[in-house]
Amino acid sequence: MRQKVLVVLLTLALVLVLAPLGLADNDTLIIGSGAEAPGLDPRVEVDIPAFERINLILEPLIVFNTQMELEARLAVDWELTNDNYTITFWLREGVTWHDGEPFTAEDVKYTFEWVLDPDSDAANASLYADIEEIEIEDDHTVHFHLSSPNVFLLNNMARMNITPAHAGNREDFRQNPVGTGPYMLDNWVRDDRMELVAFNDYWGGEPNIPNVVFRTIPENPTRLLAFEAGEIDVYQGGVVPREIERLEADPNLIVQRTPSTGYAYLGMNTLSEPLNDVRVRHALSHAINREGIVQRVLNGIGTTGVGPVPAALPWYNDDVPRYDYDIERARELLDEAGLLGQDITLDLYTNENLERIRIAEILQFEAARVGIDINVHIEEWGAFLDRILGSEDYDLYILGWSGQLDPDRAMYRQFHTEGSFNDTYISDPRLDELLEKGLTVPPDSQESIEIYREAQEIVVELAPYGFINFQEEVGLVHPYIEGYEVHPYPANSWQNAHLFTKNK
Amino acid sequence: MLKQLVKNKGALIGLVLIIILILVAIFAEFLVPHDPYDMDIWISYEAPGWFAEDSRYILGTDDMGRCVLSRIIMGSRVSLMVAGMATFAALFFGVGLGAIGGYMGGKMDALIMRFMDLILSIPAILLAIAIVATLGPGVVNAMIAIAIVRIPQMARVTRSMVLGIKEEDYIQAGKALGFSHFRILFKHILMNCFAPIIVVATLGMGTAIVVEASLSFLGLGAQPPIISWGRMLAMGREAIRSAPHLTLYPGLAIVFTVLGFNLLGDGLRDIFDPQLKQR
Amino acid sequence: MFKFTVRRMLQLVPVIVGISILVFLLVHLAPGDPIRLLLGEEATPEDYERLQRIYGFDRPLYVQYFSWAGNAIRGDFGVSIRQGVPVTALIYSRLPATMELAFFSVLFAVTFGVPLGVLAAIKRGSPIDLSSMVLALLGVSMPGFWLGLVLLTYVALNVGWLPMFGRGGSVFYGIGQLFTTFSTEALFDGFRYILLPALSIGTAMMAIITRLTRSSLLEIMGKDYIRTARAKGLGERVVVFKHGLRNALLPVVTIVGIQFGVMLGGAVITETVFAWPGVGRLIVNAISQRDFPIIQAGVLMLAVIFTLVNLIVDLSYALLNPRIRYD
Repeated sequence: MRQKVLVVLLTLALVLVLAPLGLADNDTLIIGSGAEAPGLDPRVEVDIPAFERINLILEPLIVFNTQMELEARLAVDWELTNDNYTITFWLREGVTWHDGEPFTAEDVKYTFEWVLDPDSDAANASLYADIEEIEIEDDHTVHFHLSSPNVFLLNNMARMNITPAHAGNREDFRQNPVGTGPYMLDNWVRDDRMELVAFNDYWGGEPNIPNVVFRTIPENPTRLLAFEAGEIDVYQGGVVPREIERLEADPNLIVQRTPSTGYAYLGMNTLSEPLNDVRVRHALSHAINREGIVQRVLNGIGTTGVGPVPAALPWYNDDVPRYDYDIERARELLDEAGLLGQDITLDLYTNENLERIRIAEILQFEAARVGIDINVHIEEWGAFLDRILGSEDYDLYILGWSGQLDPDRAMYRQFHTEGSFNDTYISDPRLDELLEKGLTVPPDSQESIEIYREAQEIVVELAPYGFINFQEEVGLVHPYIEGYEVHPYPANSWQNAHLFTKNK
Repeated sequence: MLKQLVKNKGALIGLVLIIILILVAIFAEFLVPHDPYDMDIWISYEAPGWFAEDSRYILGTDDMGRCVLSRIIMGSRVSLMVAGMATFAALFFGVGLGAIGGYMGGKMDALIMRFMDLILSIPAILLAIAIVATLGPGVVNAMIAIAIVRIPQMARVTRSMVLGIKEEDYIQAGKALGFSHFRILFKHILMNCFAPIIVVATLGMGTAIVVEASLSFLGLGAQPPIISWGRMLAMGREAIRSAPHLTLYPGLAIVFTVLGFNLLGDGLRDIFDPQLKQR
Repeated sequence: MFKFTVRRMLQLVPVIVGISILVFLLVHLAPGDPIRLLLGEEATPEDYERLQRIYGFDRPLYVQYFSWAGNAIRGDFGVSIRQGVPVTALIYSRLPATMELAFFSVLFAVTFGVPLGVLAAIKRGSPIDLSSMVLALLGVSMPGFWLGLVLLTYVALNVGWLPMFGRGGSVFYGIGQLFTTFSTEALFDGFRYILLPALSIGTAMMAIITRLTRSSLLEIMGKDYIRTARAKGLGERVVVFKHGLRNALLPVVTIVGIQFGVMLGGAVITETVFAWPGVGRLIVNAISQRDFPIIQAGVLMLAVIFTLVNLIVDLSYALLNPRIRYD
């Protein structure tokens, strides 16, 4: 009996040792991702993991390249006419859907009308609310007539992948979409892997790597381990900041970094006492140890926060008031407000994001030195979002914005009195006026730049947000992959995956 | 009993571990080498002192430059308090429900036990997560959740003991003498169930500590600045390669605490178990 | 026995109804709702109200419950709010991964736990007993997710052939391949992936089994019939293995059954650490996303499996020990 067990064990051990250790496969690109996509219908998805995948299968008319400039995709050209009341797209010819049907202006009209239909469950209808009518001139020319000028609408349209009129209403479209993109969905095991295969009739030519696999790995450290072990070829987002120096020194892999389109901030509810006093908000802003956060929590990834517009955009205003980390100054401001030495207790909310929790803890510690007690509440994402969007029951919150592609996106919703995400309840007539005017002025004009520079000054002076840090996108790639370039907006990271090559 | 405890090596080790731990928790303020809340972000992730000559921190510093050793010492309070209160609450309700069910029998018994089955059939950690999600994260709510998921076991043990004892002659005699149900149940029956319940409670302490750590690991337990070992693990896990001391030491603290309770519980069971006693 | 089985099956009904109400209340009373998550950060209040209407969340709670329950009775557990997929499909696709992980965790636990327990019992009071007990207790004292992290960092990274995450092919599929095509590749692949997760989860259970085997065997060895066997002059090995262990393993079977049920949903954090696509992770994600249909159906399914496993354990009890009869 004992011998038998031994034989079985030895055989098993032998099998384990001799089995092939997984062959290098140059025909498959393996991409790591931090979360699963809920679905693949661009009209209803809202999160980055979904668009990471969608952008390989379906394409927008225009896309942002890694320099954050608009680039032609399904459109070959576009133009704003009629005093910015009309946007015209000339569409690419010879494009076919994965099922062989030709791509035409009908599809474009269908997609946007679907989104604008009040009975659809489209998620971001408000982004396209200014579209009044969509007019098809011919199969490859389409005009969007707007109810009011919105020179930044193009940026929103760059995020809407076109869906097919002939298949977009299929019940399983969200699980099994038909697109024009370089890859088609082949197999999807949720929370584990999504397998894509090349679409050989792709208008841009046959993809270099025939298969793409997305692997979902929720834990940041596990994802990094998997990358270093060579189990995934490339990933972007959620790189553990702590490891960045070691990774950058490692010659066997490549770290790519670029300023992102996002930032983290401390939101202050200007309706609540004593945050309705701008001096208290300034005091809190002075208590944010930005340098320490960027250098130590983020390990040098990113830069200290200044205002709502990312530094990479031409509208960025560097010449705004700064609230340097200065506990003494914070105490003085509190004193001026007549609040020094009084019991001030504020409730701060954030979600389970580790970086935000760390920032909350640091802020809690620093604010105590100024004489402000902060109760930190870490809530689940859903509960947190519900609190911030659905109630006024909070004093402070830590959150971030991503995809701040233009000054309108970066300011109107957040700081206009009627803004849909004005959750600090800030209201300033001059600011409202500027933000409305900005929509009617050509974005590349000096006037536009001036309008938004002034708006930034007002926002920073009013301090509804304590700007913490501008973020940076970090991508990790093995040297045997060529063609990957880190994208400032992670949803677009893989839009050129068909041009990558793999030589392992 | 104390003599037997000393003779049982496992139980003794467990008892010593727990006593040390309780002393640490009580005198935490005096034992910490540094202020556990004091952060200096510029010295974060410092390696433990015995690896780096110049470090003032024996177990290094955490992600915000706070002394890991001091935080582990201070964290013993939350672990013990949450587990202790939760276990006590579970004991209170579990023993009560189990005793009533076992003593009364019939419909009441069936009702109580069905409800206990119901709770028991949902995986404990999932139920705890759902409860905390509903009540909102925090130490107190985590405690409530742990207590609720621990009740059925206590109830079951108590019930089976009560069922065994209530037919004994001396209980029947008490009934004949006209003692009130309350007096019989609490004075005579429960006093005799004491031993196994203590065993279950001791072992339950270990489980409660692990559940607390799990909830805190998920961010549903203690909120900053309250120090919890589970939260230390959660915050440190990202740096497990470059700064393993953030994950390793709080983890070991949990392991040894739970070990203490398990050793003691096991030892007590050996001591109380009359069948084992004879040999 | 048949009557007993039927009665137990009937007892399932109130449990299912009770759990469905309990879970429904828990998740619906929780702050936060799935519409917010569906819409993301850029939605307007109008968008929010529109979707609330579409999904029927503007109705009173009891109406929502009965409409859910009515569909559930007909086998329709609804569609995931966030993913738009029937929840039964989502759960079934996760079930094999979870079952397999639970199976191998149990296998690991039994393979090591029982011999260790027997050894400790035979050598009671010796250093072997103490050290195996300390080992077992160390195992049960370790949070599985922590062990998982430690194993990943210190074992997987150094060994080289152990994967860092995810699930390979099924081990059972691998065994099939071994016998049909004589290829070991699939088997090896399955084993590689399941080894560390099963170890992380199985360690605590191994500890429980070790302790139980020990105490149970000690108890049996004190019984009269063992003394009789000894008195008859049977060798110690025969007494222990033939008479003692067979009876001592009865409670172990119970625990294995219960633990198998617990593991189906209890390994959620470990599943996350290893990116294992299991049911537990599905439900925990659903809880944080307030995806009600998944939570409802998922918890119900786990509870039913748990109850059924218990029933099977009770029945097998009767088979193993003819003295126990259910009627």
